[in-house]
Amino acid sequence: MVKISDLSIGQVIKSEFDGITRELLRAYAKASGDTNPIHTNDAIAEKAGLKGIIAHGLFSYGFITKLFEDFLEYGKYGKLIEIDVTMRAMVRCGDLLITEAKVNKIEGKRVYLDVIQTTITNVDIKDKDGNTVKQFEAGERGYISDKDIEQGLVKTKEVDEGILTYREREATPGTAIIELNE
Amino acid sequence: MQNGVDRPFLLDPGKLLHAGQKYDWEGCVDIKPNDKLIFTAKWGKVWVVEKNMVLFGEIFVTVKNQEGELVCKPTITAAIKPGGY
Repeated sequence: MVKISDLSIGQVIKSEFDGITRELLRAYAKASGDTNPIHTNDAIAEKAGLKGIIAHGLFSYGFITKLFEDFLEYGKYGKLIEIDVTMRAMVRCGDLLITEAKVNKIEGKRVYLDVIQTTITNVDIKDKDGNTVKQFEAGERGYISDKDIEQGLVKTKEVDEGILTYREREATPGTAIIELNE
Repeated sequence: MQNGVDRPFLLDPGKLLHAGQKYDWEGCVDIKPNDKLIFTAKWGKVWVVEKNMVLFGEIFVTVKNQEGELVCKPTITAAIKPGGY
């Protein structure tokens, strides 16, 4: 059960999704009616200067809605009043999509939250001699830009197979308001 | 109209991006099975970011059911990259 008295400023609710695939985006395009080919056809996306298909903005947005609906158990403990986000960065196949909401104000039964979606984009794994052991789509298609490097978004960490290079980027910042029943 | 000639506003859908989305359900009723939804939309602010010449536009949408009750008030921000408008 979720009650207003159980929540506190700074509390975070979070979800992660790592299943973004071309098949899923095709299914989303069909279900949503947003059939813009930049979401389903790599050749057209490349022609548009995108280097490959990108997820629909509302596909990612759906995970924000789902975060709150799961938290509120689909209306059992309260309802969504508002979600307002800016889609700053593209979300792509293979990305890990992390959705977080942090409580910043509580007034009566209303809870005001800061929302952020972050993408983790794997680039490649290199062994200790610098040889590429594995290359991911972002490495193959050149999704990582000089700007990403300049901004310090490209990082490395040790994994079983070697050193993983990845980009961690804030994709969708915004706010949300929910109202609890009690 | 551009240079005296009528032309579509969006020249290349591939250059169209979804730049922001707000859903406001304040004072709205739930959508029920078999509801008929009626959408109306009007343009809000339109602007160009000179640094990259991306054109942004706000679209205010009202969604009502067949009884005329509000079910959602979305605001869409669309972006069109150079060459697309």
